[in-house]
Amino acid sequence: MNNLLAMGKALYNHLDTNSSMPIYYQKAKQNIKPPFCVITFISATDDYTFNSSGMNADYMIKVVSDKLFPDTAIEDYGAIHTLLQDASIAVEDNVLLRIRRESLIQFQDSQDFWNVGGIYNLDIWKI
Amino acid sequence: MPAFSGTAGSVTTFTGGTILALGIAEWTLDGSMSPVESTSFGNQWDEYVPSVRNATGSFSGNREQADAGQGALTTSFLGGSVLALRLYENATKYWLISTAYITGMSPTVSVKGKGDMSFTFQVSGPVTYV
Repeated sequence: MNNLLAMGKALYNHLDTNSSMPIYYQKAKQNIKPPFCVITFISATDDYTFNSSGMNADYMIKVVSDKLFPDTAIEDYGAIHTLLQDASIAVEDNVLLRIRRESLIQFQDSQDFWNVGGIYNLDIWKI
Repeated sequence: MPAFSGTAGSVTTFTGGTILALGIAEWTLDGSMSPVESTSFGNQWDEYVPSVRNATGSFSGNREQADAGQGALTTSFLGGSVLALRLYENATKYWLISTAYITGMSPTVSVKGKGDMSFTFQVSGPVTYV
């Protein structure tokens, strides 16, 4: 399995199993009622030794809310963050060295939905 | 062929059995010679004659805690024992070092990264290219 698929599936399955919130990968369905969580791949770099390889990837994982103020989204995102930070997640064909947040995000999009989340870095190494 | 890819390189110890060191991502072998000056009266330019050669080197990569190859290297350093090395350029061509001493090792752990490891070594005697 390629790393992009393996990491995406691992993140999705981990959150979908452990969170009561609807989880979407890359884009949410149209016309669904917030709150929901969206996992978006940002970028990844390959890492090599003479006899093995790994990957370092960044994902944006955020909660989307239609409330007037962001407090509900912040609370919901807190639960998502607890599930992700330094979590033990099985990534197919790899060992996950670490998943850790690198930065926080909070903004109101063009539909006035609150987007609250973080940029998460995954470090995986081929088994 | 004017160049080759380094992807098939490796570092192998072969003291008491051939063991590939896992996790290594780069190696360097630094050879040098200190020519003896033989300039005499009447020379317009400095002159030298060949003298002894010397070699040192280093290699580094991921720290592999359970790897026998890195274990042999750390054991050699901690015990001050001699080691034989092969520094492979690709699958078949390598630099043969029959006697080397691990002169330094630097395990590195960072909260923001993975565990790394680097070694330096001193060659005793000749280096040959196989």
